Amino acid sequence: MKRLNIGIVNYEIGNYASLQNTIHQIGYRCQISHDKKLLNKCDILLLPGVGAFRPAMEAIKKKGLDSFLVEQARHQRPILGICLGMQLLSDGSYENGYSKGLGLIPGEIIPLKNPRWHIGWNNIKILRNDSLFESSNGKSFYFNHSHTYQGPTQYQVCKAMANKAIVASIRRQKVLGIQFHPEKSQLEGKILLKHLLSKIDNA
Amino acid sequence: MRYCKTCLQPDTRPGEVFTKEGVCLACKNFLLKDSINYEDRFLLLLEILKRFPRSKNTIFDCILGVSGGKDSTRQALWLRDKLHLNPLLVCMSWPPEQVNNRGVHNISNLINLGFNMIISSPAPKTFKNLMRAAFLRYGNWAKSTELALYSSVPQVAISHKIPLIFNGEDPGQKESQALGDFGWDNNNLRNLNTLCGAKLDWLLKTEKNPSKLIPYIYPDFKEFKKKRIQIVDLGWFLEDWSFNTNGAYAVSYGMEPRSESPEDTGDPSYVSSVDEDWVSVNQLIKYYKYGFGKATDYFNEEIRFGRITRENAISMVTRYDGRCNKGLISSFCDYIEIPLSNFWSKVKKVTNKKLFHIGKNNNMQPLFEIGTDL
Repeated sequence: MKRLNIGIVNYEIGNYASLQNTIHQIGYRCQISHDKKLLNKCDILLLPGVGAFRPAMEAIKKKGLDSFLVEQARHQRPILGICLGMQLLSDGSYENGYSKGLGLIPGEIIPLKNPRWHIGWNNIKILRNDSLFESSNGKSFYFNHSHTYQGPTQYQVCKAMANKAIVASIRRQKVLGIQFHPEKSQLEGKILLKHLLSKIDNA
Repeated sequence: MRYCKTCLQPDTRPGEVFTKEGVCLACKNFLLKDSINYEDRFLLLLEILKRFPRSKNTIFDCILGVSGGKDSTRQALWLRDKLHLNPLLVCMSWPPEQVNNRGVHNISNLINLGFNMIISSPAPKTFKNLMRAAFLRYGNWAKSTELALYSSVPQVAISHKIPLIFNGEDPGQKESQALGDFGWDNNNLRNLNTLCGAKLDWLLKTEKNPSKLIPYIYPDFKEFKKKRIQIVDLGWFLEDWSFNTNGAYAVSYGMEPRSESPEDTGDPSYVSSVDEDWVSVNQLIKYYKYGFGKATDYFNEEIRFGRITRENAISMVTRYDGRCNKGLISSFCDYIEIPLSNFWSKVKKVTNKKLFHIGKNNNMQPLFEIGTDL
């Protein structure tokens, strides 16, 4: 088996330890860092995130990680954004006024309406053939968000059904985002995460 | 009863699921072994250790549950000499009537190798009563003792504020237990077949005073979370984790192996559960329940490692499974204070009648041949 080294991009907003714990549990080495040299040596970069879009983006910029992540994506480095991390991959967000995102996946983040949040367990359904998600089709994951992705259907991979469809995952080549929390989704979360990490480079 | 196509695992083993090709879980996992990068796993272990730095006011880095047997001796030395950790060893000791001289020697040997140890001894009367209840209820006396044994370790971890626990599953069970898919994390150990999710209701029927059951209480998930308890299966990180390697390693460091013939004990490995002798009684009953005993576990591993052919193993397993000296059965009955006739009537009750014909004088005739589907 190829040695996979996972890097969690640390911009000091979010609970990185629980994600690292989950990555360890599924058997991968994983470092939490904002050191670009160190992250550059990782095979896959994880971009977690909790809270609001604007402060997260500002924190990323402050550490100079925005241009770094764009550069990494250009060089085909697999990147996985989780929850707010997924939203940061987009062009921008209308959360508390408009702020620009990393622009790695076309589309924008808009507030949820009726209800204004999506919290709890929900099934995901795949919208198109994607070997990364097929085995998790119909499985339940834990969501906790109040804003959602809106963008071209070609980048939407999975949805979750609330009052209406909510985009659960997006993808552009090796840049991948999931709106739910695999690290809080028990066994199914681990299975999916293991699958994503082991296959993302070749799928 | 079906047998695995590559080894002698029967599908009667609790939790066993064969593949479509008729191969058991353990063999399926063993084949994947070649693709595992153990060097990488070692680096992963170092990363995990970093998450559990030694707490203030303690000189210990981690807890290790031990018996002085092959697995614990190997692990204790490995933690100290390879990982440079200072483990606090925790041993649940059998009551004086149960432990044998070898067990006493082995635990002393481990202390003499330079380790600190906490020995917990559950109150012997309660221990005996619960053991009797476990036997009469389940035909498995270890059902209560395993609870005390497994619980002692996280209990000490919590009381001593040392959240990192190492253990090493019996290599015979390692590949096939239903512990989830993710290798080293043993925080769900409570779901092991013998522990039954650490439920206590049946114990309370025998011992009405809950305070006497404290040694049998496995701390619950909430407690684990609150105290950041993490149990790590060390065996997952070691490529050569097996009966033979662990046994050889431990014996070379002074562990005394079993000296009785496998004709009397049913244990051809000579190194499994050596600190007390009634394990053979339990293995005998397991054989009547499921059609396999210790010899199956041991030779299955030997088959996988390519050290014996399946054919040759058939004759060995036929020879040793279900062997147990009669003296052990009587001493067991004396200890739990039941007449021999009660023992056999219980055993007959739990015997799988599709696998055994019960003849006169408690003579159980197997209706199957080892290695041939029934």
